[in-house]
Amino acid sequence: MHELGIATEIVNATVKAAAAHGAERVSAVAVEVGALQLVDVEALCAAFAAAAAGTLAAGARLDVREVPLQAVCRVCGTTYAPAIDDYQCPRCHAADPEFVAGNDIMLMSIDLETAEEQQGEPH
Amino acid sequence: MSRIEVVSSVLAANEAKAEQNKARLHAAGAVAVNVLSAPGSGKTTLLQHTLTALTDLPAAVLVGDLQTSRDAERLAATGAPVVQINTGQGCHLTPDQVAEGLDRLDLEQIKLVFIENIGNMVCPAGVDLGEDYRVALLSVPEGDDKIAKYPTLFQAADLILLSKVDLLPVLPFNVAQVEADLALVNTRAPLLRRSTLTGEGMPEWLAWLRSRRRS
Repeated sequence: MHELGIATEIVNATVKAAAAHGAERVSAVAVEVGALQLVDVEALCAAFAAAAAGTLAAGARLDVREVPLQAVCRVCGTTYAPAIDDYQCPRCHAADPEFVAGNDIMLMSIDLETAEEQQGEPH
Repeated sequence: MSRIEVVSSVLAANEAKAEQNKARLHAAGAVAVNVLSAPGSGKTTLLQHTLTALTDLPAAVLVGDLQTSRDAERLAATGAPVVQINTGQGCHLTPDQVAEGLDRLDLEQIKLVFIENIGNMVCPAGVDLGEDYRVALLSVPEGDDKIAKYPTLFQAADLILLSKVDLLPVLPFNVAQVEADLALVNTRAPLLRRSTLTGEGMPEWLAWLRSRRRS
């Protein structure tokens, strides 16, 4: 269960960026999660809600896009899309991948509400 | 409503801290080895015997556990410097915890730092602590299906120790299955059979460690 640690990092980065833009509230956060991070999306959303409580991001929606693995074979240089449980290069059959996608967690965008917008909206 | 595009890595802060640990170890002329496995695979026993045998290479251990200092007490009995890190609920060591552990070591006197991670086959695999090498243990009683079930742990390893091989004659464990599964996830790391009881593999393990020494 490392989703809480990841969610806390997402909330910290979100609050920092939102505060820098003078936001009063964050309504949604979009992240990309690489397959290699073995993140359970449901657990991440629950952890995000808990970590966001009491911050600018309280109640914000978390949109998660999962990013499949992409690798470059360190032996023959072939670029390929390994399965999560099989990293063999389709060309030379070595399992020595350098992952070039699907190994990170990226904060992509944040939807903000400013103080004026908040006053104008019923919620 | 306004949208701001951020596009930054959430893991970057941890990676920067891991790089700081690595730079600090390099500056002191020390090599760090992150030791990973399930609970009960024999990480602490391996390190006890390694510290006792490795008299020519000054080594220390940062040992992570959720609770207790029992592992640190076992390891400290060898006379090596040992720092226990208790993570509470944390399922893996973090670069910050390793940095705090390094603060408590006299790095100028140490050539090799073992980082005994939390016994866990999932979470520690994705977290760089600033180590130079990763060693993954798989013990015979765990079963021959673990590489297939937990590929990320074994994918990132530089050396894989098949431990407790003295139990092979009495347990249904197919080494060929392990080798076949490993061929799908990691063809870079050697698989070394070892046993604390018989001493099998110990000379090769010590030679592997000595050849990692920073000159």
